[in-house]
Amino acid sequence: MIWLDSAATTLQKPPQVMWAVMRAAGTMSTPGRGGHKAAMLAAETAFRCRELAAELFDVPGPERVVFTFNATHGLNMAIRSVVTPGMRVVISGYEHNAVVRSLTAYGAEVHVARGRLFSQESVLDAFDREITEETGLVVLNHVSNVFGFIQPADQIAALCRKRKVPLILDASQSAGVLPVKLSALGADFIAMPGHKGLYGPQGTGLLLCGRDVKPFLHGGTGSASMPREMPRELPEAGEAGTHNMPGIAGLLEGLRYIRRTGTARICRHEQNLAARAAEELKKIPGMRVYAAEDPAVQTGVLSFCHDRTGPEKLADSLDESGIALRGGLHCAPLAHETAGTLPDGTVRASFSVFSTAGEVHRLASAVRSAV
Amino acid sequence: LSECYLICRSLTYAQKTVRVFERWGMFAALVRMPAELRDGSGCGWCVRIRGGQLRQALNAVKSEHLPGVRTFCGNTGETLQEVGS
Repeated sequence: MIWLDSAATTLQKPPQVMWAVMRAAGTMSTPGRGGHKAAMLAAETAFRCRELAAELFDVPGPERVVFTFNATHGLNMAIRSVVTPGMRVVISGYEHNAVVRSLTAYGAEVHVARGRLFSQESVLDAFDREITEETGLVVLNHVSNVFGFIQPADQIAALCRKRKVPLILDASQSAGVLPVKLSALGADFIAMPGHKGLYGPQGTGLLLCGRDVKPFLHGGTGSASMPREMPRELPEAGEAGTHNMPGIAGLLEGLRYIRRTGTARICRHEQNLAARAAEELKKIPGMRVYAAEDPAVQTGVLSFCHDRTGPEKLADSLDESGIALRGGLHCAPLAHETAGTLPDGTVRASFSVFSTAGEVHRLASAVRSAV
Repeated sequence: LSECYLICRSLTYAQKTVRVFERWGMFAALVRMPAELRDGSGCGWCVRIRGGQLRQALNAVKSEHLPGVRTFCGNTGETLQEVGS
């Protein structure tokens, strides 16, 4: 199988990730639950993972790295920590349902700063217009999961700092690919999954905290056990219940892989593949390919659609040819609304560090045969 | 005094404290809080150091901006006494 659905999950992992998962499953219990070897090994592994995440993502201390089950979990926790019912919240036109539905559930008054696809200037102008004195929060998707569009996070963060508006960054598609810096951005929270660009297993994620969190789950934390309320200290305030230690051990190896390989190298590889795929697909009659004129504003995520063959049908045909990618709305109808690709959506090819030029060629051939 | 216990606000802060002490060249062990030191808050975590390193440890806590800690010292097998924070 050719895996081109890495924006959902990177299926191919560095082998050390899988070894770490297996080793942890047989040797580690949970941090803080007892002083025996299995608990202490888990505690050390979890702490090393926090330390490395803090180093990679410019977090002031390892205690500000909270383990989550995925980015959605982290975004929910972050949004719940800031939003009050009726709060004016500004989001981009490329947000995932993890943000849109959470804001709706917590009663926010959502305003969309809609910018043109692949125009960072247009997005920045839209935020400049929408962030008013009444704005209580900005939530920004760093990179669109549908189009790979890199939104101008640095400039929007600067705007938020200037206007003293809290910022939550959804780094689901940028972590492991682009520089993501909590302190430099001055963000209140950054949420990211472990199972995409960080090459960890599913069921892992990180919430980087620039401020305290409101507990999302309530339960045991392994310390200060007598009070009936959750501890207020990070990271325990955000981590009730047993940790996913096989996942965290795998994530630690994924982070080590990212540090060793370097995000710039990973990004360049994925961008090159996306550009090559765009070039090949554009040659097919009836094909619309969503590729940025300036390749610097797009990661290795490429959407395309055909005039006659719908996205779902095309994705199904490609699956029969042994190529896994995703058609439809990608849980981000707002992004499709902004880009004008509703109601059908697009087919999305998304690359990882393990994708190859040969796979891109096979994709183009298979698409040509399918339409 | 042969050993001292620095009570930390959580497991993660205790781990962070151990890392700092190790960086400062001290021996430090992460241990569960002895039952006699619990003040009603339940389970907790401490950093155990050699008694002779207390001054250096408290300097490290201050210099590295770690949260204030309660400290108890004593000889092995004897009752631990609080020595300030």
